[in-house]
Amino acid sequence: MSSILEVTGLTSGYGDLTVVRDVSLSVAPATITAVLGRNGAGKTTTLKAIAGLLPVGSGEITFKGELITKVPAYRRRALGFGFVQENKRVFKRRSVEENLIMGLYGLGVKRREEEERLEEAYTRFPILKERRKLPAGFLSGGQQQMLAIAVSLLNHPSLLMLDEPSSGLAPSIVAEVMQTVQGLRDVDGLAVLLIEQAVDTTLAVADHVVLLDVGRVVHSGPADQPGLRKIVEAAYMAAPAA
Amino acid sequence: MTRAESMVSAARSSRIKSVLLPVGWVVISALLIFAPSLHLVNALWMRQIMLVALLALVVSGLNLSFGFAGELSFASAAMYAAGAYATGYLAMSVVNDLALALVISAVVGLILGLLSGIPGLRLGGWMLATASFFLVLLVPDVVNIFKAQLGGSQGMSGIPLAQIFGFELGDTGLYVAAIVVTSLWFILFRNLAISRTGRAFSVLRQSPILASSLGMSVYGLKLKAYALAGLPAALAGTFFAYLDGFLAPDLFGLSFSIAVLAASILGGKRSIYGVFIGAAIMQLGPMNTAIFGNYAFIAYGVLLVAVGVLLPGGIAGFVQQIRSRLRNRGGKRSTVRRSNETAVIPVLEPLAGQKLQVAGVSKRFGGVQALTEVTFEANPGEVVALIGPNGSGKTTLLNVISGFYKVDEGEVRLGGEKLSGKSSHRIAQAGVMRTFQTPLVAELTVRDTVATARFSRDRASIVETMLRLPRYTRAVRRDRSEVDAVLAATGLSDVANEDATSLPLGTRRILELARALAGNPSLVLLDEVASGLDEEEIQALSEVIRAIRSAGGTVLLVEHNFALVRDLADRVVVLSQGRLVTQGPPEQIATHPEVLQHYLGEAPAETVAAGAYDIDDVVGEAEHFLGEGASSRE
Amino acid sequence: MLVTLISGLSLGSIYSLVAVGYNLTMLTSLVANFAYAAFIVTGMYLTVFLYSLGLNFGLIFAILIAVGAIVALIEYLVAIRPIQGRGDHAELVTTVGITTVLQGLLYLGTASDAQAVPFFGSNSMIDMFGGGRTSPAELTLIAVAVVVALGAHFWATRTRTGLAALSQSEDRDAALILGVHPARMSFIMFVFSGALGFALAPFVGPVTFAIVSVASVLAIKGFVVLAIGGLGNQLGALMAGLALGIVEALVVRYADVAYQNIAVFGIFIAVLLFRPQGLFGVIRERAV
Repeated sequence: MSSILEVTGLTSGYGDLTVVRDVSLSVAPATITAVLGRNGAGKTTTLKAIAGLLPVGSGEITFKGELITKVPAYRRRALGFGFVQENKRVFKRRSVEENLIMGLYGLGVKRREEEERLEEAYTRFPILKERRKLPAGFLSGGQQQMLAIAVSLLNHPSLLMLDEPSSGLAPSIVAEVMQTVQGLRDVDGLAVLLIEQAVDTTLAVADHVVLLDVGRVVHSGPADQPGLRKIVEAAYMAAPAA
Repeated sequence: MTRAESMVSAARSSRIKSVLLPVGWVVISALLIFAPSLHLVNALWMRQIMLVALLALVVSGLNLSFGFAGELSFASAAMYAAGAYATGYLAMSVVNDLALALVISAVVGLILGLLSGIPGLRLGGWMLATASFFLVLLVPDVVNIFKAQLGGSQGMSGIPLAQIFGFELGDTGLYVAAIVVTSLWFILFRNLAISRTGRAFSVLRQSPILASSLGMSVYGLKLKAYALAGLPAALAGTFFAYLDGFLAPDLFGLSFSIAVLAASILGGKRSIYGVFIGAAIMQLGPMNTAIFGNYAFIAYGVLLVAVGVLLPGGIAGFVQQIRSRLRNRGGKRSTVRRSNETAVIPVLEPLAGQKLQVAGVSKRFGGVQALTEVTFEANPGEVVALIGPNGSGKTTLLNVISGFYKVDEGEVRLGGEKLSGKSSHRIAQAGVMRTFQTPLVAELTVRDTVATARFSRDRASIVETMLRLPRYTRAVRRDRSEVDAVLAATGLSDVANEDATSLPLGTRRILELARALAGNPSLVLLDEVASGLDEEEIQALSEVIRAIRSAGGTVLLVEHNFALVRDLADRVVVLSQGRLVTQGPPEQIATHPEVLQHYLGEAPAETVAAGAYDIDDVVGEAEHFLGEGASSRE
Repeated sequence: MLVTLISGLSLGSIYSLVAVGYNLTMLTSLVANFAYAAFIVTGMYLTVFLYSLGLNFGLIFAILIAVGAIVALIEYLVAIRPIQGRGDHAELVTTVGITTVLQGLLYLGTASDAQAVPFFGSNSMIDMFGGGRTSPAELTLIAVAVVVALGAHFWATRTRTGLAALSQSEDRDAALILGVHPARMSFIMFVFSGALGFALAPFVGPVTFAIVSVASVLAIKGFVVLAIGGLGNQLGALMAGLALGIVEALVVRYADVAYQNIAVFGIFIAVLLFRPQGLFGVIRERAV
């Protein structure tokens, strides 16, 4: 099965600070690829570079067979990107419904269809419908995360990238979020690229794991590989693999 | 050219500068002063030269507030008017004395600067610009309200010729006085611009966060520059009142403000001598209505746009750019590294480390609990590492300690003295020095960058700085010796004259450490100093941190690199979801089951806590109470 | 009294209109276009000229919109785009420059005396209840200000592009990944605000007369209204502008015209000191 997203030899960072070097990974439809690594390993930088928010120093990004390395960030949404950034990046001063409408921005969706898509989101997350007139900043952390996911799904993306969707959430809500992510893979057939810190939770849902350390891929393979947890633990607690 | 040679030549050129410049200044001033008696200039040119000098005075004020403090102000025209009208009133109704008028004008200018600066600077940016523009708008109204004294919109005529101590000054006498005052003011202005205070301004302009973390009061410094800016404008006003013996409000309108702005932009808003170029071009060019007439406005506007877009540094900046390009032709840049071949084991002067006590500190952001009752201590001669997963509150805690966030509950003490509740620059003055996740260095040389940490430790007032009084020169001498010692100890001596911003990341992190050390810290806070560095750089950095410990300093280290933590820390404090999980020696922490669980597994049930608060939030909140948003992350 | 109120409201309407114009570009590019007031004044002279050619109002209105869009386009390309993000208040300097050029052109192209701008409607005065008279031009201007401010408010809060503008002013990166193109948005809004500024001229002109120096005064008062009304808040701009106008009218009526600006300055400073986010503030200023 050909992959939705194919990243080869990606190098990126902030200004003269190169954070990730020569990262390669791929995400197939209806699978969850998890990016693991301790803080500062370059996980978020990798996702931001894929989304076009950070300049790509070298390497290539192919999306649905099309080379998109140089496509500006704002054009990637229409191609079928969904990206949930870390820290529940919703527009806190806008209402829940306005946030959702932003999820359809620039797609030329008619009012009629807009309503249908919003209804879809409300069916998936009924709590959002109850609070649709409320500014998003008034929602709890878990509800904000659901809103962020709902927004990212409105364009019916082929790829969903999630940056620590469970960070700062209560465990029961983490389970709910993970369930949602699994549903997106199993029911909707999405390709999911997931960053998580909580290793065990992640290994439980992922199909494929990419382990980063000091900005490089130190391990890549199926999530059910025996002894994987030991490898991850070593990377988290010990010296950089220099 | 080898480095040694280039250092020698740099030293020689600075010696040449320190001799040639004053001599040149005296010669040019003397030439201008004696020009009329030597019949080098006629009355018309005398007037033009004097007007250029007056405009230069006004523009130098704008350069102080705009170029140095980074706040655009249009108030110069109002200050100019204030000085002129004060002089006119004094000469006609009280006593006609140039010296007294200059003193009164200076006081009026300073007071007006304070009055408009105190509210305006709280917000800065276009709020300040608006307030200052408004001040200009009020000139005709004020003149009309005091019609009896100031002549109203018909103007104030019949101001007598200037006298000084009872002697009447003719046209030439007034001209000579104006040149002398301008010349003297520019010496003071230059002394301030090229000084530790001048460098403090360039730090706070580029990053208010950095400035306050070095103990500089951003608001206080800006206010000083802004108020001082009114002084030369008011002095110029005095001469202007005597020049024609006639004043009218429309001489000080918005068009004059804009001409002043254009002159500043044209000459270079951060320049000293460029002011004369800008003033001369404007005065002899577009402001000369005989030639330009109605085209003057178009010329001002075109200059503002064209120079503003194409030559951000003005003519002076452009000249400097060309000179530095010529100087560096063939030479390679930005690959300068700190010398490793010497491999000095850094040894530092003893540091007066103090005990840090964090007691029951809690911090909320809106509905999010970022820190909950965090309690720990760090002792002198100890490196304490703060670790925890993303969003666990490490950086938040660092920002609470350094005063960028206010604590909600609990307190922070250093050596028994309470820090929490103080503003960030006061905390820095109390001896807390820090580094940043993304190194913050201003566009200064390495030596000057390190020296900025001493600005608030060894004080010299603006007056002492401008007059180069003993307290200032002593502070500069101490700066030099202490900075030299720190540079040597951290292995940065070889790159002392390089631009700090051109250094590679690893060297910049060492530079940040060196700067922190120059502040003679009681506590050093390090925020992810190792991120983005290679092994060799991490080694060099570790040596310096160990040296701080040996010297008796207290070090608190936020770090993700557990290998480095193991290597360096005496004690590790683990945070998760804003709470302290455990603390202990690194070996014990590495195998602690609860720590492993926090790093690898799920979070314990009852906590619902913060997302990650990183430096963006520091910038956000700090900007909120610093007022100005010009913080750079690089 | 009612007359004073009406003349205060019509004066305040002008301030509101300027502040609304500032807010439009503020929301999309975090730059308040200082030249906006000069656009209105330039439009007044153009209106006078076009009337003198005997054109009808509809055609004049269309020409004003076209010229305004072109002038703003030039401003954006010359004075805004090359320096965006440079900091150092660079935009403030260049937009002041554009204002000055426009004023210079007006001084050159016209005798700088005040010129009456014809009103397209009736010029007969209306008797007011309680004595005094007012002109239809003043009442029209107030209505225009209310409509424009409400329209701008409606645009920002009820339309997709307005929503996108507000969203990107809150979180640029989050908007970017949802397909918002901030640079294009700021470009379009600049051009639109130019068209709007010129189009307002035939409504403002009959009340103020065309006077070149009015541009600077309006520019500053517009900023004061922005500070009082709260950055980005179009309803706040409307209220603050109208209130300021009434204050000025009362000062002129019951005190002296010399205190008109001083009173405004006092209010401005008081707001800066005690409510720096403005009376109706919504947006926290960051990047400006």
